[in-house]
Amino acid sequence: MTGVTALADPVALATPAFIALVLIEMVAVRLGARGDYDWRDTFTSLTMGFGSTMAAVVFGATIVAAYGAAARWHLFVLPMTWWAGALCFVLDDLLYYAFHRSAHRVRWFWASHVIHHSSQHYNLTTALRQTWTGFFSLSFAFRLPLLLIGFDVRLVLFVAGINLIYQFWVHTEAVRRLPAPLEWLLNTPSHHRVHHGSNPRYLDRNYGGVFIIWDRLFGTFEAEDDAEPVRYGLVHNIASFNPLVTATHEWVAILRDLRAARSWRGRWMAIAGPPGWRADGAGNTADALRADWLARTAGAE
Amino acid sequence: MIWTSILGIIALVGLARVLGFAKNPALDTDTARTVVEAALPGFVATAAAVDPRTRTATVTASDGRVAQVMSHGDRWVVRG
Repeated sequence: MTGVTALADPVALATPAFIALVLIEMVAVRLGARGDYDWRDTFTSLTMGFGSTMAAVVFGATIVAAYGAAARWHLFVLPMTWWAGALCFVLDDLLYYAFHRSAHRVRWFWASHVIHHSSQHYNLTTALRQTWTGFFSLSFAFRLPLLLIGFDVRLVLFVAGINLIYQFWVHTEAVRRLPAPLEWLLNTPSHHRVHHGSNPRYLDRNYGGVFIIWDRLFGTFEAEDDAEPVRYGLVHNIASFNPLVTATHEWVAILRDLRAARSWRGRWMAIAGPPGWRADGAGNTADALRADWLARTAGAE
Repeated sequence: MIWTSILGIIALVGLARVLGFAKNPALDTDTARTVVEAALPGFVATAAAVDPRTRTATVTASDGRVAQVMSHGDRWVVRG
C-alpha cells in the first residue's frame, strides 16, 4: 500500500473539513434543518476537542512506542497491501466495538468516555467532544491485538484515523435515515443518535464505530424509534460547561466512592464495576434501568 | 497550530451566538414536571414549585421522592 506514510495522520488532513461541516450544519439548523446548538455547549465541545488533541501530543509518542514494542511480538508479517489494509480496517472496527462496549460497562474506562456523552445536544461539535484522559483509561491497548497479529504500526494508526473520521459525520440530527442496506451495515446518524440517548430504551446500545453489524451480532443493537425521541446526554447530566469539570468529574466521583467504600469489593466495584453501581443497591446501572423499562413496558401491554 | 485552533473555537462559538443559539428558556411547573418525569423513571410528579429568578424548581412525587431542576444553558439538569 503506497502512500500510507504520507497519509499517516488522516485526522489532521480532515480537520478543516470538520470545521467547514460544523459551519454548514450550524447555518443549516438556523435555516430550519433538524438539530440544535447552544453556544455554551459548543464552547465546551470544541474546547474538549482542542484539549484532546493536546493530550494526543503529550501521550502520542508513548502510545506509538508501546505499539512498536508490541509489534516485535507479531505472529505474522502482513504486507502493506490493499487487502491487508482492508482486513486491518475491519478488525480495527471490531476492536473498537470491544473498546467502546468496555468504555460503557467498566467505570475506569467510562471515566474517560463519559466526556463524549456529556452534552445534551447532538450535533457535529459533539463528535469533537473528546476525552483528555484516554491514555489513563488505556484505550490505546485495545488495538494491541492488531500489532500482535502482524499489521504494520503505520497501517494501524492510519485505519484508526479513518475510523475516527468516519464517526464524525454520524453526530447529526440533520440526516434521518440512509437507504436500508446502508442502515443494516453501517453505523449511521440514526443508529448513533440511539447510542447517545439516555432513555432506558436506548441506554448502552449501538457501540459500533463504522459497522453496526457488530451490534447485530452481539445483541446490542437498538433501532431508533421515531415515536420515542432520543433524550441526549447522561442519566445524571452534569451541570457545568467548565471543560475542566467536564474532563474530570467522573474521576473525582471514583475517588469519592473509593474513599467512602467500606469493603474491598466496594473499592473494586468503584473502579471496575458498571457506571451507576452503588454498594447500597440504590444506584442505577444501565442494565437496571433497562430492565425496569422492559418490566414497565411489559406491564403496560 | 495552537493559536489557529483557539481562534477557530472563538469564531465558531461566536457564530453560534450571532446565529441566536443562546436561549435561556423560562421554567414553569409543567416543564419542571415533564423534565423530571422524563429523567427519573417511575417518578410521577404531583407538585412543583418554581423559582423563576434562579430558574430552578423542586418537584415532589406521589411516593414522596423530591427532585430538583436547574437550568443548564438551554437545557435542564435534574437531581433526585
